[in-house]
Amino acid sequence: MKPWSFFLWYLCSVVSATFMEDAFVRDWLKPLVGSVEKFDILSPLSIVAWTDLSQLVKLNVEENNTHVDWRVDLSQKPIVDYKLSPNNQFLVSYDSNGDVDLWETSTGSLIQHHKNAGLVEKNPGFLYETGIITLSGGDLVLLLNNGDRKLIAPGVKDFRFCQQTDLAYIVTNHGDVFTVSADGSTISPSTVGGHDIKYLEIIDMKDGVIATTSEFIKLESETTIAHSFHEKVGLLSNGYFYTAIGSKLEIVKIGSDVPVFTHSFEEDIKNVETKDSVAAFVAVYTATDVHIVVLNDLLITGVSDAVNIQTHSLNKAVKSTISCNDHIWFVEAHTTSPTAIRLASSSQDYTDDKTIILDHYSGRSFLLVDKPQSEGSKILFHSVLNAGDQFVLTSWLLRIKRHLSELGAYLSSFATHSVSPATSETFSRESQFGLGKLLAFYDTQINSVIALESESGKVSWTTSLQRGFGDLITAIDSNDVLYFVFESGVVKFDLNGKILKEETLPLVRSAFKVNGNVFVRFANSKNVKVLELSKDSSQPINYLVEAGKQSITGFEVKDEHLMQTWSHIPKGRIITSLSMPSYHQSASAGIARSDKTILYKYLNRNLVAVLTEVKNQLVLELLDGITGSQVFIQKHDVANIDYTTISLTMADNWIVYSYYVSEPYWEQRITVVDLFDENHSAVAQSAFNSTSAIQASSKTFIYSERIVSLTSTYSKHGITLKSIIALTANGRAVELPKFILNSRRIDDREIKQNDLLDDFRMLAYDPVIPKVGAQVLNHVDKILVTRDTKVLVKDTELESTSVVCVANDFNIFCSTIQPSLSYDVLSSKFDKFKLLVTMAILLVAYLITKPFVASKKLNSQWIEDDI
Amino acid sequence: MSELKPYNNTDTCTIEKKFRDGAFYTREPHPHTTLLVSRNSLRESTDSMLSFTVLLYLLSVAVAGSVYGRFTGLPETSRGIAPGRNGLNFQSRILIQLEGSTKSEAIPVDKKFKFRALGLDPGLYQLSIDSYDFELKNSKWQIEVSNEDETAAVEHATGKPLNVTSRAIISAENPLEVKVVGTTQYYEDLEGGLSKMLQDSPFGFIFRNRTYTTIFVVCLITMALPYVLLFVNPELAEQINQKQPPAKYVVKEEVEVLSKPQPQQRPPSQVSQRGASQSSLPAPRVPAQGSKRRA
Repeated sequence: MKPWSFFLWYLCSVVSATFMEDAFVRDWLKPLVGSVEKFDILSPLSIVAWTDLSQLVKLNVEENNTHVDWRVDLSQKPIVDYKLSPNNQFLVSYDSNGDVDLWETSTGSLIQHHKNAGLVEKNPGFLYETGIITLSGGDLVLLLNNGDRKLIAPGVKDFRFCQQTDLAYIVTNHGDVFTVSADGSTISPSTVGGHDIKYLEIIDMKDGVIATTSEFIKLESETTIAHSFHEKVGLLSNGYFYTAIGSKLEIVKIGSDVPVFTHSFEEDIKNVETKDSVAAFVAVYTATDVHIVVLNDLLITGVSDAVNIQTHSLNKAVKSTISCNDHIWFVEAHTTSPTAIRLASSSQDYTDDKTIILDHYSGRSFLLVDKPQSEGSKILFHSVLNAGDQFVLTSWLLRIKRHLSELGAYLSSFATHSVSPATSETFSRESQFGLGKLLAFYDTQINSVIALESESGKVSWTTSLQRGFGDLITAIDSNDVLYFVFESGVVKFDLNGKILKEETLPLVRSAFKVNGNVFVRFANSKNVKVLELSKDSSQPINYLVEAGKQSITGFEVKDEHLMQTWSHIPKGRIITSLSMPSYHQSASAGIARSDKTILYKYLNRNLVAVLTEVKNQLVLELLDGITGSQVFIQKHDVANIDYTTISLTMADNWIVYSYYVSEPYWEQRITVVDLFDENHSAVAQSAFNSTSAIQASSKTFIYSERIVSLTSTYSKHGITLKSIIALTANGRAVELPKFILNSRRIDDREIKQNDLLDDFRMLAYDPVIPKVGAQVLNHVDKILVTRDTKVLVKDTELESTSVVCVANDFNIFCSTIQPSLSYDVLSSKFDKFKLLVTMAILLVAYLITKPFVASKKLNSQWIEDDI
Repeated sequence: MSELKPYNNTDTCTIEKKFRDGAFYTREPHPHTTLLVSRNSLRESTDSMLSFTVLLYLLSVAVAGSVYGRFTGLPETSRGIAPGRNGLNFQSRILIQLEGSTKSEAIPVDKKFKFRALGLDPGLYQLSIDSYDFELKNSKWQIEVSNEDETAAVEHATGKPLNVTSRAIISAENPLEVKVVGTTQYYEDLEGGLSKMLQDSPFGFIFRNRTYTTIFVVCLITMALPYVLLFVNPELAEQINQKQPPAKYVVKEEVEVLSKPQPQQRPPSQVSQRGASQSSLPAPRVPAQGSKRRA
């Protein structure tokens, strides 16, 4: 290798290292499964669990990597219990509706679904691999297999069963023996060899042999062999049985008197369990230990030489199992906390000890807030922002200084192999441009406030509350302070999770933020308390609008008291209402049309939208929040709206709402209303002397999926486009650009050149909004959506980008969105590798061609000389 | 005596020692059994009621309308589908909603991508299917359950009128076929970017035509071979070089001829490049000569 190639290699490594810094994916989904109610151990590496959130999950524990292998959401079903099949391959769950489901444990796929199979009375059993035999519907023995259900026997209180290759035998509590084949066909009760079977005397059934207290009954040959072991007997495969008397275990062939294997343990045998398939063994439980007697060879050859005994000490407090793959493992598991399971496994040669920790938050009142900024980064950011105001040379020098300091910080971090918090902060683009946020919420289970980092999902801080203030009412963030308002108090946090103030209050009804002032409203009175006063005193009067079920009321906040200013009682029931979000900025007052006129937007920061239901009409009313006057009304004559699915969002000069109708067809509709002001005056107006004349345009669109909630995005200055995030029933967070949901799309004529110039990305009206995979923010990670799922949006210092989080009990998802694409930030799709390859190729081409050029020049000189 | 709890089932790999309930493989009565006894003793007295229950129970499946369906055209392997949070359990990521005037229910999809809804009252229903991973040819049907319990399905694309010609009777033997036409692409395609870049370049015509590509590659190999050979097998390269004496000889001769008469003329190319300002050069005569000739 030549020195220059070393240099090139070094250059490449440095360049790639710099670029990789921000080359990580900026979205993540954290599945929350809840706390474990019941669990079973499948292997030393995995367990299946049933959680309090009605999730059936398989958890995998590998080296330092605990993850949810699969989960099945059964929150719609009141599950009673589940049972694992003997070979661990299947799992049957049954609920109080009488539904029985069979799942495959390796994938979590549904194998069989039996609806209305009757209330399961006895823990089900497995026959023929996937057949479920159950006592349900009162007194019926049913075989559920391949989607069919077969009645085996009615009027049964209890039964036992076993399988011998392709025939199964079922003995009912009446002593009747039913022979059942795999398709469920039953040969009705028979007696064996002419004598009755006493059900209560049966000890064991296996491979077509019944062991009673006095004899072995071979069902196929209908023969009986008497024995004298009474109840201390159990059956093994290949015609063997074991007896455990005192501390002695014997393994004997049925019909023989001589044991093939005998072993005496130090203590008395309490319990014996057995299994045979991959590895056959008898597990002997004594008071303190479990002895695993491996019988693989013995049961096949009848020679006792190869019998091997493993001993493990037994802990009664934990759940244990014997599992086999390459080795025979003894696995112990116990829940150390509701969200953690410790799994200790040991075989003859190895031991292992792992803990599964489940992500679990019972979050309420999620807030998406800025990360706390250090003073240094604030100054730095300020200098970047104000660079334009300074003299060109000064700002250039400052820029050079900043870049050099960043390079120095990076190089020093490179040299020490550790990124100190200070250097990482100045160096990370996330902190500089506010791309990293904190998702703060109150966890009801542990009475704490938790903040997660929006880029990674890691816990930033957890602060537990020392005192309880009752139920959480709401959470508000204002000026880098978080207020968690409870029924009887308020707790104030800073962005580092430090409690600034705890205050006990009389019974609180609600809390709200008006003009940057934070108020708490008390129940049973019209008194309010100021939690925070805004430094900006340009808005001296604070107005509040409150919506009830029947009416909407406007208040003025005066001297910690609410004075009612107006009240509006719509004709019908109020479904939902929303006031214009104060943090949304509108950068443009209108749309410049092709003929150089301006279509002014109706921008009213005090607008309140109310959706009401009047007979078979859905009515949208827009009110002015200060005067209470009705500014706009729109009615839909639609029958059979599903009123539970209505969602409403508004920003700028538009209102978008979605509803699901069942007539004439079942479909999801989205209605868009854009408001324009025909009589726009250049002078600032107050709500009391407004001259605006509203001209509204409205269009309804159809979406192919059911929408649960709508949220509008926003950016710092409101310059970039807005999108509407629709959360759908099947777990997609779809980003629908506002220019698609445009009420001015042409539907009654051909689209003209002027129309295209009038509006941004004007399209002809098509009611159906196409489904586009790339618009799904959560990509392949499906979000489990509930009706109260919140979509949170927060602006960043970069105008192009906003942070979006979706949070509920089942999952937390965070990502960033760029409705106007990434014009001010390098896209995550930007192919650095390709750029580097191109640069490298060009460099190589340059180096290769350089001698050629030199020789060509030389040649041309010589040729010239010759002429 | 009752401490022995033999385990009845075959093909098991695990023995479980349970502390919560030992039902099913223990001899102790199930916690529910006592309750059952009293209930059953009542039932036994009324045999007619029992048989009625059984009859009703078994008939409940046969009567009333039912929807059977299955997915067809599924990709053979999981290739091209990014596994989601549930691994390759795509069935769990399919949401089937059957909505009717009286009831609406979610229908689960089993491992074989089959689904069914039983016990539907006569009337109109809408079946909407949404798969998180697959693109479907049609995702909505109107289901008509007649009074004779015959079930028919009519395709009904979103925002379009009913496709009446698609009406088909569905049954367990002829289930509704949900055609999968592809997998949903949630990520913009990054693969093939390099080849696309090459094809869009000025030399793209070479790569767009197979023959040109072949010729180009052959030429490239022919050009590169002597150099590669020098590294791989220097002896062979030497041999080949020796087998081409005329060319070598000519080159040698040329060099000799050219270098003999004017050995001091090597600098001109450098000099002419750098211009006249570099006066410190050993042969100022030569650039003067060159410039003179050019003039």
